[in-house]
Amino acid sequence: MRRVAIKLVELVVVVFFVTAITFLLLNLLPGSPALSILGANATPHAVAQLDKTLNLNHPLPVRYADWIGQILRGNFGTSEVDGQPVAQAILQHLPVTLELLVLCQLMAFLVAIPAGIWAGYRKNSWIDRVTTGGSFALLAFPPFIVALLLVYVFAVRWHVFPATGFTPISAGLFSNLRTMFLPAFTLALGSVAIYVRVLRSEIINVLEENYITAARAKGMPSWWILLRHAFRPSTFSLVTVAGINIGFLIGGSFIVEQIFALPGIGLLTVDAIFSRDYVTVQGCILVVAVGFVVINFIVDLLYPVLDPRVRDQRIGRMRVSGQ
Amino acid sequence: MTFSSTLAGGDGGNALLVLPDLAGTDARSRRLSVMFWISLGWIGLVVIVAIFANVLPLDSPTAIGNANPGLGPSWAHLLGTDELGRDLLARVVYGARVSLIVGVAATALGVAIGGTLGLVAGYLGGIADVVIMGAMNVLLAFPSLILALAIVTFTQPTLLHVTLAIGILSIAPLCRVVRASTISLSRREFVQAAQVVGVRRRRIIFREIVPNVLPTALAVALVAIPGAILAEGALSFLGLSVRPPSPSWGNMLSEGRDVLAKYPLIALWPSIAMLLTVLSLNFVGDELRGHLDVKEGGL
Repeated sequence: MRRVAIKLVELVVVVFFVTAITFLLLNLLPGSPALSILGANATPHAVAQLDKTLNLNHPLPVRYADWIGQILRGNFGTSEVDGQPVAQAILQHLPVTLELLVLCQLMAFLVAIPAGIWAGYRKNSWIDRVTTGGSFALLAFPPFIVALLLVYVFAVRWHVFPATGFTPISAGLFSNLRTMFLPAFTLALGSVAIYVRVLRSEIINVLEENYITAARAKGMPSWWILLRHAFRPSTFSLVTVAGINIGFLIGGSFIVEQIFALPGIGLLTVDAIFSRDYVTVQGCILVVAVGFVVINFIVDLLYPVLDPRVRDQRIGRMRVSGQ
Repeated sequence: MTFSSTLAGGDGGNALLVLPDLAGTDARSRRLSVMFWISLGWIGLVVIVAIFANVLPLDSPTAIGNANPGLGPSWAHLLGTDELGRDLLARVVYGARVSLIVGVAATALGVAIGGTLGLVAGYLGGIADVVIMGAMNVLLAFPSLILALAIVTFTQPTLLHVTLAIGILSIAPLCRVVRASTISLSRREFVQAAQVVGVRRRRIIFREIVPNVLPTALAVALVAIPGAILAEGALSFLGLSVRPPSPSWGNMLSEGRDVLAKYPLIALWPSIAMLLTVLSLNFVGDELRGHLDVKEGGL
């Protein structure tokens, strides 16, 4: 319980700074924020009006308190471009991004878990070399290159999948998955590379433990040892890395949504950037950054569930830092 | 002081940096491989070509109308021309400049600021450590590309701002690594001996600790450069780095995407250039780390 309390305090502190930085972003705009949003031709009256709506006449701490109070009440402000409430736009776009991330992680684990276990089990075999080398190479592939390659092969050449566009789930699960496949696959490749490498080295370490030898001596079948005795403790690192990887995936999803024209948070943000809709950009960054912090917080809380050794904090720390 | 990022070992926020270490250096030989020298050769080629782009017999990377659009590779245009008839080789070469400048300058910024902070946090400990590492955790709390995107958006996209934004991303990972090795170094006998003899703190830091931390920091920095290049590529691809018509690999890819069905080569060349460069840098960095036996994140 103490552990959870400490983590919770950390969460609050980090969230405070993250929101404060996001809030201050608007102040980075050259000149007055109102003028940047409205453009150089704005009438003084319109500028004064926007100064008032954005609360620019008050000192910073007051403005921050006011802003965060509004956010907590679900009011993210109103877009200066189309007059739509920002919160509403975010709610409309968020499910697409979430679906993309979930699908991509499902694909990644589906490939990486068997590959990583096998590569670790048959260390230095040709399978291991191919997976390790392949995952090393995959790390150099940014999503924008992978996406173009996949679009060229599967959409332009073979017409198996659509190049761009999005069909919502309400229009049929199959057609939805058809539009989601290439984007999710693009993002999944990077994760596969990371997970395979982590899992492989974990499995190699775990297989040297005494209890594995004991299980072998008892005559347990290899698949049982691998799945039951070796894989379970390895999930610990896997979950850690998956948590960190979410940050990468969020960045990647911005690119992928742009390429495949998926109406997710990334597309919303980038469109807003180019239409100088800074209030929307700010709202999106806030949601994404706080979401990332909260996900990592949850991952942190998951450790004791996954690994009984962490329930004793001291031993857990040693293990965590010792790798 | 920790948040989840510390759990990953040394350097949380940047998974790319975590990887080579986790891969394990079990069976790695002490001798540098042939691939290492090939990678180094490619990096050398890119650097030289980027530096001397003005002097090389290249077409203008931005002049429109010197040649027909969408030509395939030929002697006059080794890589062909793009949809506006600009020479692709020239564009790829000038694009390399942007990638290298941002990659190296951003990482240098990370080493300078992150390294200094890491030294201070690791050597002084106490409040300084708590404050600095707290700040690093806040930096890592943002998904990396999103922070860069935010900074560039609100300060307007120029080469300088892009470099600064990506440089800020590389501060936290480098700070963590330097802090970790500073802490382990300051427990070593030669540092403690210097302390006992009464050597001044500044002298201990600069004469005893810095020279020993430097190889670690540089090895990590080498792996941070490809990360910075990819980040610039992503921003460029989204249209948030150097403005067209000036070429960068990212904006060439973005232009190539629009004509992918008609002229696939336009997107192919910058892809290959970027992949080979990033792969080579990763490979060289990884091998050097194995060679120098750099262990990071021991704390």
